[in-house]
Amino acid sequence: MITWEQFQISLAPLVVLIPLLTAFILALMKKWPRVAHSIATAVSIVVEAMVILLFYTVREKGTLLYVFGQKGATDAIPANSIVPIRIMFEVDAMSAFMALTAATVTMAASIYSLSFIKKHTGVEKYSSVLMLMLAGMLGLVLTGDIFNLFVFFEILSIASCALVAFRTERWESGEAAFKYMVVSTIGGLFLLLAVGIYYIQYGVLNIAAIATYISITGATRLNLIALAILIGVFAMKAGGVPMHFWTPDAYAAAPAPITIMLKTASLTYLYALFRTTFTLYSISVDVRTVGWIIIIIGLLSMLIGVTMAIPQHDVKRLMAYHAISQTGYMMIGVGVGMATLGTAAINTYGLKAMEGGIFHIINNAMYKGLLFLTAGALFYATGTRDLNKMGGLARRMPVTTICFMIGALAIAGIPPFNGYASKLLIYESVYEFNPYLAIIAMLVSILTLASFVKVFHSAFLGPDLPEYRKVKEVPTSMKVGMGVLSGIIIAFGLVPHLVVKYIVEPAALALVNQGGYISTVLGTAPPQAHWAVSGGVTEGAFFGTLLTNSGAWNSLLWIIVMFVLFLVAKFIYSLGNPTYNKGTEQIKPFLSGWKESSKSASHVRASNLYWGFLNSLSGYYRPLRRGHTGIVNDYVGWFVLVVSLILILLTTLGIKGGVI
Amino acid sequence: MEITPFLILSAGLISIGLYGIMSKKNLLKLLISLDIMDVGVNLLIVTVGYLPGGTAPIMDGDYGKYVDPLPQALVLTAIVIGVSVLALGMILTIRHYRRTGSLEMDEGGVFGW
Repeated sequence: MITWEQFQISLAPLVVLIPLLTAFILALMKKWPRVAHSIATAVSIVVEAMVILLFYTVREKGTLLYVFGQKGATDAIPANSIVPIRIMFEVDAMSAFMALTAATVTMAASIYSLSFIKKHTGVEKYSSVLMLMLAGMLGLVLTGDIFNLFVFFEILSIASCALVAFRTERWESGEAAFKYMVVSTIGGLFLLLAVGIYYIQYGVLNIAAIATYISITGATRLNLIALAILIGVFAMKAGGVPMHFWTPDAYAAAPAPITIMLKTASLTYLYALFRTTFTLYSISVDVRTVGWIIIIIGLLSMLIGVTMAIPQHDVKRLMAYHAISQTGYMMIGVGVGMATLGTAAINTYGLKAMEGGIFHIINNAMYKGLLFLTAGALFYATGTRDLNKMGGLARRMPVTTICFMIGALAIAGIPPFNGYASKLLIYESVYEFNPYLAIIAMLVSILTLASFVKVFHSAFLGPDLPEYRKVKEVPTSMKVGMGVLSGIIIAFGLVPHLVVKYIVEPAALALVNQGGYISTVLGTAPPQAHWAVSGGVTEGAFFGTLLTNSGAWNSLLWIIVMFVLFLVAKFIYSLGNPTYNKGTEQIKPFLSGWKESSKSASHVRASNLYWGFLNSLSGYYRPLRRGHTGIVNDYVGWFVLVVSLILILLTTLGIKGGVI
Repeated sequence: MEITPFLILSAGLISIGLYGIMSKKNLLKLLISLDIMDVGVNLLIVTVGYLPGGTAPIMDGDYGKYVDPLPQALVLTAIVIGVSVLALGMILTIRHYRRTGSLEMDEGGVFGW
């Protein structure tokens, strides 16, 4: 009989095993595709529940260890050995946090898919591979073994690639899938090379054991090569500029639910990047160099991502470039944490920057997921992704419009939505590290708002276009999928201090605490000089305040103030004297003395909206346009170039006591 | 038997593969380059686990030096993954060929930015 405690310990392997098993069963259900997808949806809900329980367990009991093939599953090191040799899952708060993100998005995606893919054939294969993706993501974040990480990396890559190619009737899906396959195979091979480098030196594959050895031997040249490769691979898979070229191709070609899965997959690769730099290396390398490498990749991602998004007129490509740009925020937040590791600054602003970055991960998964789902709804209703052909859809699709507005306001960092809270944390703590970074981050946020205003204007506003007279609101399951994510966005936006206190802060502390990660496996830890204490980010209970570095944020207070201001404005408005007569010529609009032309002729299409802005920046856009060749050889070339640059930086500056 | 030649060989294979991936537009050649690089990485890992004069790791009494079995297990996994990637790539290539009648990348309609 299994006790409750045993069940809690077994949760980590179970959340990977259940979707994995489901994937192979569903592949056989060719006769009942609808049933297959219902099963997949049910499984994703069950997995979500189990992941929440797992997170709760980790919070309650600290880091959880599950050793495969060992009864009792508690002793990490077998009796006749001195190093951990078995594969194990090590779940600390950061892993559990990422698992929570992945499972929530998968749940929303599979509910949404219930009606989204109704018209397609091969639904059972779609659900099967979707489950495989879920298993890959959860395995990637829960594992404590670096070769195991490689295996889950490849499972996730192959499953994603198959789903990118799902729309076989469209030419771009095949091409995007091929590019995605080449890029992720290169990534996987380099990852395997790095695993080989660790095995050559130390003869172990356990992450905690490798981290111990690295802290003893220091960063040897081989270790630096492995670090450069790992940063390059994971930054590429997370969509960091200049290795991002595959992202818009794959995101745009995949069906919308798969796009949000791909986006979440890229966040799990980002987790792997943080796990590598913080847990494997930590202060064994020069943290300022490594931190600045991550920050620079993040900075480029933010700037180039958002400026590339503005001229796009394919709604999903536009959002894909935003996905790149938002990843930059996380990299900057956590990169600042890395750069301050081991100094006193980690406790003053470093940890808060990390909390902002990590909070942004879950926020981003939610609002970016919501936005991609609304893009999918637009595609479902109109059959096109081209913004230039859309217009006036708010009349036909009110629910989608509201969901889009929630997502767009959240991504642009408008209070009181969740994006604002995490961006505020990032701005105020990064400002202390380097003011220019914070200013650029704010500029990027403004440009983000600008490009979502463009989408909102060109797709939802404007006159009722004749070709969309018969468009209907999307089916219920799609509304539910979008509603789940909208609800989470609003909830996180209203009580950000609770989310930070109970979900984000444990994750940030777990990421910093290399000694804790090692000692869970090995019993003892090498001496550490940089324990971060809790940042004290909140005060008050349910109606509390989120303390950012130099300020504070209380969403409820803000709403009350806004409401009072609204009443004041209303009062002042009512004092005015309306000399405006309804039903006369007075209310008719006119342009330069001429009567306004017909409504449908005056819709400003997407590509015309910012032409002045784009025209004056044509000198900036010309090299960018030339750089985005769309040829897969170049994608790999950029990856090799970036890895070489990181390697040069690391070997000249990265050995401890370097110059930067 | 020395392991240095095998290290050089694997470095050569990785470089050839990488060169192919960065320069070839033909989808089949791209896939073959990926596979060459895969072989190179696998060879590297098997090589570092090899012990000159070692035997199979069967502990039946009088064993002396034995070869580390773990890299071989790793490589076996990596080979399986490589095969599945290759299968997926072949499917995509076949579809590309059926649609465009060509194996070249540029024929289909590249989306740049």
